[in-house]
Amino acid sequence: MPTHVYQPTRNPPRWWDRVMVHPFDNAVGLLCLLFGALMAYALTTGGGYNPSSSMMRLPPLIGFVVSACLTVGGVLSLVGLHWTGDTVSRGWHLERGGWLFVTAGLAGMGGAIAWFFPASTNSWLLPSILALAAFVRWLSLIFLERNTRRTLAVVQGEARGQE
Amino acid sequence: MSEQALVTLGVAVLSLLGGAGFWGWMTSRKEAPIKKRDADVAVAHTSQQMALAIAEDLRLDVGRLRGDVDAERKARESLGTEVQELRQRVEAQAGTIDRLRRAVRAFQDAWEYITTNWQIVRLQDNPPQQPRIDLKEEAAP
Repeated sequence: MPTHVYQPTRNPPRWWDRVMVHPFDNAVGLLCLLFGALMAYALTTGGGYNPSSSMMRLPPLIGFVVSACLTVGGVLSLVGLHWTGDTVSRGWHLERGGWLFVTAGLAGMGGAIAWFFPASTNSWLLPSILALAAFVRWLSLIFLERNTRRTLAVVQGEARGQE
Repeated sequence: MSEQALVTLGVAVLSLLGGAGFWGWMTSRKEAPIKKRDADVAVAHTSQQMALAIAEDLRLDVGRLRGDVDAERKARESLGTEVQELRQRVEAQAGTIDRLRRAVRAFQDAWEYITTNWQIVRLQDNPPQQPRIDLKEEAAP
């Protein structure tokens, strides 16, 4: 029985079906998008708005880089996850790139919280483990594509053998 | 951890992730895109393999069951012949028991005849006739 399978089914027809199937992926993507956008807003306005104490204490350049990674990662991963085009591999590539940016952004955020507030373990564990999860999702999308290509090669080989 | 070390760590992590992204982009550049139809074909093929694996397991299971059923049938048939032999023996023994009962009754009747008619029998010269009992005893094996 083939138990180690990665099925490339993109059949949920509506976007809310995809949310039902991938609730946590959608949540992390949305969170990163919001975190990054709010941070970028706070950094640009420079005023009293402080969405994250630890992030605001970072040097502005690093803060911008982390926010940019979070925003871009959030956007790309959500776009890739909800890809409805005919070329599914394009959706996977977009999502993969998104998760990589998310990993960078969340690792930066976790690092900032751990640096400035090392005692509040829960606060820096959350983004660090989510960063790890995003990286794992990046890996699993690679496996998915690789598995699909291998299966297609087998199918085309069989078809050619029968002709 | 000093700030310098943290910056170095951050740069290292970013370069690692950047390298991973670059590697992913390089490997996927040369490959053909996968269309929805291809993905569906891959899903169908994998589902077919799973179904075939299940069918194969079931086939082996059925073979094993058939073997068990054959063994059961053989055991039942041998038991049937045994039961047949036992039944014949039981019937023969019932017949023997019947004859034995008749023999015992004949003996009882004869003895009763002697006791009731003792006054006449004891004066006779010859004893009364022994009742003929045929037990149909089979030849000893």
